[in-house]
Amino acid sequence: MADLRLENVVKQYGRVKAINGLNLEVPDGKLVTILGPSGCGKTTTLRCLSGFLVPEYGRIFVGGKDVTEIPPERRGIGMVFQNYALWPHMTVYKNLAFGLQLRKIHKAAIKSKVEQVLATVRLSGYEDRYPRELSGGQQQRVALARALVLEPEILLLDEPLSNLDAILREQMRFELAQLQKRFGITTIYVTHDQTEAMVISDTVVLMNEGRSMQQGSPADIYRNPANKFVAGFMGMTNFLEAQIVEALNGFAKVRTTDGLELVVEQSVIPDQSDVCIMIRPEHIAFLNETNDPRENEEHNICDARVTRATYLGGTVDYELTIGEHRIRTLGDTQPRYQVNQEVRVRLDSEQMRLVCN
Amino acid sequence: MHSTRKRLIRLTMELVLLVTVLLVLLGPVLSLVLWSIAETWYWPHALPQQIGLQYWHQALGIHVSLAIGAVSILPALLLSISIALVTVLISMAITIPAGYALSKYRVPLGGLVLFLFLMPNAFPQMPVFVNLLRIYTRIGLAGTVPGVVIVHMLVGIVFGVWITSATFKSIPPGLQDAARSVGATKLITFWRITLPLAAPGLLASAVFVFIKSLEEFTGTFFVGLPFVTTLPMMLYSASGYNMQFASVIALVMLVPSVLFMVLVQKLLRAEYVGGMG
Ligand SMILES: Nc1ncnc2c1ncn2[C@@H]1O[C@H](COP(=O)(O)OP(=O)(O)OP(=O)(O)O)[C@@H](O)[C@H]1O
Ligand SMILES: [Mg+2]
Repeated sequence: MADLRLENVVKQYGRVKAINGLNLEVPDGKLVTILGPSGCGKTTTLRCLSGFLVPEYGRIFVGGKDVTEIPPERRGIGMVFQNYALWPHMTVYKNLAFGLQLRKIHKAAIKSKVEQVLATVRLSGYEDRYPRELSGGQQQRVALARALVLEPEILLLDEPLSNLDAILREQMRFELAQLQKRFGITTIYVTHDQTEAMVISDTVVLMNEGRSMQQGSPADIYRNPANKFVAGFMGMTNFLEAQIVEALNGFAKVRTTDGLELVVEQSVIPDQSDVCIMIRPEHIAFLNETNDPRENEEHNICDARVTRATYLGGTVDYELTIGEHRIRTLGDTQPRYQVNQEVRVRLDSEQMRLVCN
Repeated sequence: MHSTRKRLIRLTMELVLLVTVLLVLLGPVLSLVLWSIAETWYWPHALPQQIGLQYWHQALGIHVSLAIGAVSILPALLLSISIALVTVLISMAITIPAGYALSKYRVPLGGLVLFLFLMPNAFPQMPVFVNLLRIYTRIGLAGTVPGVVIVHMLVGIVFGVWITSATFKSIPPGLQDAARSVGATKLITFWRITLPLAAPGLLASAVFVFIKSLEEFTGTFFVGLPFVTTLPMMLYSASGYNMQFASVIALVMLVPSVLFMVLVQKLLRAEYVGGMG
């Protein structure tokens, strides 16, 4: 069993608190993504986990054992660094064999292990190359192989794909997720790319300013963000400043600052009157005479004007003006609305969320 | 069309550079060679009247004759090389840890330490050496080989520490972290990762200290003479009265430097050509 637990960890550089009371749990064999903006403390968290930093407060447990003060070389945690950190004076083979040699493993066993892992990352035949003779994607796979060859129970990845181009990134993303499932390694994956986090993780931990803002499945965080920051960080979204007029069981009637009255269905209504309505682009529907079955419902329908239309291929990205608010939404390519055209839209009451700052 | 013209310009520039380098570097050497084999050369003739290897024979101890003003330089050569090698060894033993510490840790007053190291070079050397001689005389180091080695180290270590700390600083710390994460202790990480990566810089500083020591004059003059006669000392005493003998010594002094450089170059090639950019 190699589950991983951080309890109330605080790490400060001088007076700056890079991590500020972080709690985090990764169940055995799961992949958890730490997602957050630059400087929110992701790398610092990984360095505490791997033993390069000792936190000022809090404890770190691996498999139930307190490892807070154990040095990196005795933690047995695999790590893939942000810029790969392959040793330039060693061949691919030597890069992979180094850790095994330190474990006093027999030469023949080392050879077979290295070959096996290289095959896994599809780099058989590259044993004698030096890192600088590899492409970025290949270097990335060597870095991964170097960690995997030691068969760690825990693997930490610090933005491992950030240096790759979009296509390769997508490909490697799936491969990583597959390998992780296959070996069942408890993994923490750090990224600031929201899509990446959605694709590969069992659980996403959203961090900001050294704290965890929300932890949950990608879908759960996307649909039910805990606050405005989370809502804004997980995908494109619109915010409308509003006040709660009436809160009923599972419903709230709200009025926006520019006088629009809307109904929001939400199981837990915030108990403060100043809130923000969050609505995703895909939850705004254009209405026209013919094809809307719920047209006779009268709430959440508003008049809007198209202020910008950007053709994106499969969809069109519209900017609408509703009252004083500008709102982004997506529409089909057929029918297409023109700039300055007056339209009617419905905001989906089931999908809107009231969030606080 | 365009590219041929570009190539032509480039070729011309390369040629000019080559000729300049040859003139600057090889000009003096050629002149030395000529002087070293000139047995008779009267002013204002452009070339010697009589050439031969007399002075070479004499200097290398093949002939011993009192007819010409030259003696065997072999003992001095051996002494110079020995002093240089010992200086390199001891200097490296000091500069590697010192340079590493300066690069890795925020040594309190690190700048001051480097400044102190720089002192003997930044200051006019004479007062330093004159005072050193007084101290040496008191503790019995004046006119001894260890005394000269210490002076050579003072001169070489400064640059050694400088080059070494810059070398260590240029190694991305991530490479060391990566070693720790696969199970290497700090010591193993230093031996297997940091040191090999720093090797080119360290060897460069070794070459530097070696050459510095080989040609060191002022310090040796003050604290070494009259008992420690290195090649530069011999060259100094010869250059006043005997141009031929002086030329032979100057040429011989080039040899160990060139050999040492070639050796280091070979070492670098073999070990690191694969890894270094
Ligand atoms: N060595 C250091 N000394 C002082 N402050 C530091 C140091 N390292 C990081 N910090 C600060 O700690 C905070 C967290 O840094 P960290 O590297 O963990 O961010 P991150 O989430 O990994 O960001 P990024 O996505 O840009 O890599 C930042 O505000 C940063 O400025
Ligand atoms: Mg980071």
